[in-house]
Amino acid sequence: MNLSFSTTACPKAELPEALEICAAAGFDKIELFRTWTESSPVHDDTSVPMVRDRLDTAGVTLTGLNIRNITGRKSDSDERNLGYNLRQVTWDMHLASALRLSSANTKGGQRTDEALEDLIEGVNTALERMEDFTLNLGNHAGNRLEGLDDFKAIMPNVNDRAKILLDTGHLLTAGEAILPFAEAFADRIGLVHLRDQKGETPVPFGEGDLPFDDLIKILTGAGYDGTLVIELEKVTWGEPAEAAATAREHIENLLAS
Amino acid sequence: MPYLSDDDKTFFRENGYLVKHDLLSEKQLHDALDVVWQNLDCDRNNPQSWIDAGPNHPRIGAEPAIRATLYESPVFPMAEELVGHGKLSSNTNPGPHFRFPTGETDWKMPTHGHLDGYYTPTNGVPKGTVGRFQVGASFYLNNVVHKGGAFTIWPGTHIQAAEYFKKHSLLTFKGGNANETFDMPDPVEITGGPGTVCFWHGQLMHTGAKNCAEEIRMALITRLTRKDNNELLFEFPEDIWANYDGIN
Repeated sequence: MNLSFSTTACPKAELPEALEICAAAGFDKIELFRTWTESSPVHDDTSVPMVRDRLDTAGVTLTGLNIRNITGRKSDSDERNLGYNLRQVTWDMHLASALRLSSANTKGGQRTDEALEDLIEGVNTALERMEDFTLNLGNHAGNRLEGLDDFKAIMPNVNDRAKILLDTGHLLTAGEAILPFAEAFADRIGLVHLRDQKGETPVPFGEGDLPFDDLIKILTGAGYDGTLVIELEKVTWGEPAEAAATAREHIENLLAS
Repeated sequence: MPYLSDDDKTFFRENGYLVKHDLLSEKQLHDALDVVWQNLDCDRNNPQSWIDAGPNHPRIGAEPAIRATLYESPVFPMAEELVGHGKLSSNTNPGPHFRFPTGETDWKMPTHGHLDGYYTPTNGVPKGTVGRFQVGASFYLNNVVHKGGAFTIWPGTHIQAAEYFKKHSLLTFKGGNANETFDMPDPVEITGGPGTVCFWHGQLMHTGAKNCAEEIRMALITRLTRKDNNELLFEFPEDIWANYDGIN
């Protein structure tokens, strides 16, 4: 397994600064967000070739991009319109591809039957449009993909190139047990976002409710050799680089033991 | 025998557009106009009914007579001569873009243009995406005169766009409005008779002028993409003609 830095630790940092923080924290891999952070590859003052050049110059590999969600709805009017939404999502997938990725991370829409239908159709259509590309479907508190039952409803119905993004922070926020979730889908996990929390509050790794040891045993047992993204958020216990370095060391020690 | 000369290609390269006349046969024009008139909310024989009529964009692009203006005329082969033989996708239909007479006489040259492919609340482009294409072709089915709603372009802005997007996101310009960013030259109004075609670079600033003439401006516009366009969506190579085999 390899470790990647998430820009959730420094959401206001533009890409050059985020790369400095990433390197200062001892990472050579990074994950970006299409929206939400200032290090977005579609930031006004950045072209995609510039993003590639900056990554190369910093010696940092991009491991993932969080793109827009498959909600089945128009983003400007909230009207149900899967076709419109899919044109946004596939544009983002092409953005990921231009950034030399062969996968992207997405989520669902509202917690309705309609959104579930659209998510299944949307995932399958998007993957048909882009061969050799994988979508990692992430759980998120309050999203159509929140917990175990939601994934049981969707995963049998979507293309094999749809994988699961197991996000520990959002499972903890939603009050979902992490280990049964990981065990149920161990062979279909495509990516892991690690965040430790006390209830809904992010805390330094090892101080919260996340059962790191058992989770890593499940992943190792299932042969998972992908990326573990260190996803710190709302860091109040130190500078982002320092907090991320401590979290990285915590996971490296677990993997070595 | 190619349709375009070296001078034509040089003009396109430097100015971002190229105008050719009489590219549609009388039959192609006749058949296309019949389809058009069947889909307008006005009387073909009563010019008074044309004022502020509509629709501006009747959904007739897939009609054989409309597709023929692109694919059974020299228009598509000429675009291929710019971008490369066999490189352009042929699944695009020409879209009607009509400008009806306003009945007014107060005409001014447009002062603002736009880049195509950008989201507006009404144009169907999804928010947060930008559509790119290599060559646009705007062709007239009737006579379009000065002050008659002509397709209007700002020469050379394609070069400014190519330079700009090397260092900025494609999403920078809301609605494709780059007027305050680019150094805008004097615009050029494209006038001409039936069968006049203006080929234009996919990132050339353009607009449609106000129609103070008596005729409807009957233009078909098509945006032609390379078959590998999805792989080029975010690329702005040093040589802006790297993906135009016919010019490079």
